Amino acid sequence: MNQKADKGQLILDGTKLDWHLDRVRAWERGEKVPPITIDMALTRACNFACGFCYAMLQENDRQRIDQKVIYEFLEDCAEIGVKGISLVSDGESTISPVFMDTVKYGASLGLSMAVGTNGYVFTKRKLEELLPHLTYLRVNISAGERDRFAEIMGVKPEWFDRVCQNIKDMADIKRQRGLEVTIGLQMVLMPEYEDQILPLALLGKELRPDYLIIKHCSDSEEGSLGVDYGGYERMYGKLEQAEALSDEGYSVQVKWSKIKDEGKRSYQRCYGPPFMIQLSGSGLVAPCGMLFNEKYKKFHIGNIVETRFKDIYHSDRYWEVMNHLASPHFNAQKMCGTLCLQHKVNETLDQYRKGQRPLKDPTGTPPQHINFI
Amino acid sequence: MDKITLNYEEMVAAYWDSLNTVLRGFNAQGEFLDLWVPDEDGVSSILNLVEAVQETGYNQMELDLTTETAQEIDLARLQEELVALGTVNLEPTATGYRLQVNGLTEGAAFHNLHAAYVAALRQAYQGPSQAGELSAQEGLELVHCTIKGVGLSVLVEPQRKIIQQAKWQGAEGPLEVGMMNACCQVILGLSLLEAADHGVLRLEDYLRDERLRRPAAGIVIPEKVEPAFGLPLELLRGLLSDFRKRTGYDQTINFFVKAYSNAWQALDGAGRKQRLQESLDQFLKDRKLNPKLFEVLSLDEKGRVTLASEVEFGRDQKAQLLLQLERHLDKHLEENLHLYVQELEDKNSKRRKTQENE
Repeated sequence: MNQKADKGQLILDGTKLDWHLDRVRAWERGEKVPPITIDMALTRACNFACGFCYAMLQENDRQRIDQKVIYEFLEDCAEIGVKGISLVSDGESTISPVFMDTVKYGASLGLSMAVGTNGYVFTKRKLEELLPHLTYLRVNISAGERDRFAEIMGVKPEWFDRVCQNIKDMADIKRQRGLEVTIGLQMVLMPEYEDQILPLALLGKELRPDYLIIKHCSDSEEGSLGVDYGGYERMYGKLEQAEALSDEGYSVQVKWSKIKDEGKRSYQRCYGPPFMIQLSGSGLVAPCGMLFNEKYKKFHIGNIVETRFKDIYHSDRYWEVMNHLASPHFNAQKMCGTLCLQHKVNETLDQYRKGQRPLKDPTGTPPQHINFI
Repeated sequence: MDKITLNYEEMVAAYWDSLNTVLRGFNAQGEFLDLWVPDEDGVSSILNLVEAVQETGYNQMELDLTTETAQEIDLARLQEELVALGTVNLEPTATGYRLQVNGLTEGAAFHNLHAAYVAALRQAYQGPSQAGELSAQEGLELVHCTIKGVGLSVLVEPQRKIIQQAKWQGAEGPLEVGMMNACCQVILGLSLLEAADHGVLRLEDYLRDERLRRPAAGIVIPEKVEPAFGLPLELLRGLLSDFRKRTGYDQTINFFVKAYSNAWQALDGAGRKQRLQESLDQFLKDRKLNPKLFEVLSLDEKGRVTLASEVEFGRDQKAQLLLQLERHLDKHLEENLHLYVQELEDKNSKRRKTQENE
């Protein structure tokens, strides 16, 4: 399996772009560079109803991603040089009929595959089949207590028990079969979920995934989700206590850099998308998930249900949009939501372009999940 | 030497004839065309010819083409290629076309430049000169930098560090002078930090002819696609560096947004909306598109424009037009107007229910 190559440090609060400097140099020379990572979903639908869900803001023209579409997409990705595909984005990919096939076929083509999920529809049998093909599987769980889980994630309380059992099964299968896959938990922290920081960190200690990451909640440029970025500071003490629950084999990490940014960006140009693009569960190809809504039509590049991805990638439209984002006509501070997926890549490239940070070939053991930058 | 008039078909015929009749000292058309070799590709053939005429020292050339020859040549590509050599004009005649290329002497300076920048740089070279010295004035700080013999001086308003005046010294040749004239124009109204961070991006954008192909297949990094941008880049960073050393200014995060023009600020909401609609109408008219394609729904204080459209678009057409329209408004109406269409609401029933409950 391709994920065997992923070893070394687990970077959850940073970028691995330095490990792909050949692409950065080609980008700088004005060459077409294929994305290193593609983040996508197989559907826009979801069986949960989390209050913090950014997907509520990402509606666009829905089309169906079937097996033919996704197989051709994966073949195109492998052909043009994409390295990793994460099934996260704006829908719950595990409820798509093509989910299992997607992961297995992608891995067979040499692509690193990863999944972000609410973890509900798995069974032990499905996990046995799935995990050997994944670089990482991350369960979104923003509460450590049954009733609060139901409130925050918009589901019945008993669904908490099933998700916990699935997490435990994932950790057991990994350990018993000696798999390289990383099992993670992710808490999307809104200031009003403060009471769940420690219960969740303790729950993780019991279920034994490899890590729990606690991250900020993104919001649109108009603040549609009402995230109070000023409200995070009072939780620093609790977050540090949660990190202190780490032990050998279980790491609790806080995305401090993004939380402390309070939703502000240090850069205006968006240089990241050529290295890391996003696809909606509708098949829409866009530079960034925050631009999925129909409202941002001007940035929409194409749809893999209608056009082969390799043709989209080579099209003038693709590079016109990428160039627009890197031009003075675009200002990420004014025109984007907060703390997007490309944030750390953007920050790094912006500092480099301003002469504030050199490009240096990294040394030492490559980090884990190197193809998910 | 001023002007030469040639007939393309006669020259090609004479060239082929010479190949069969001349053994040594081969020269089909006289010494002035020593460099010319016709090419099977008509565009390359004429490009070679114009280059040969330019090398010989002529400032203007006229070339007559028959209709038959013109039909075999991609005339749009020919004009694009010739932009780097001079000012191009193609007129129909009774027997075909007359191609005129003027300003070849000056054009030699732009010869190796990417075609997308030539017209604007030539205009900047011929336009008002920004050469000169600046001296400190009350309420304005003088900042200066010299790189490789070329100096750039600016007067900066110390509170917001906004560049009020800019002059260059020591630039030589049409390319360097054109570049520095354009640079001095583009940085007016920017903060010193913005000029250092994005001044050259703005300069590249200002100089690029969008009708021609992009100068890079991927992302345009100005000093990489055209080394001539390297000088203004160093100078603009040098200005900030000089200012930092002298004043201790240490701001690195750049939140600069260019202010709206005075004319735009003077308008009320209805006036702005009217100007916007006029500019939108002009964009559609220029492209011979349906004048009812887009309607302005709203325009807020932050420059967010929401458009509506009831018309059916071809695949990807709406997205393409919106981006083009935004750039049109940016260049012809006002910087910092951002286009959106109406938001689509979430169709996921569970998520929507949660929203409604909240």
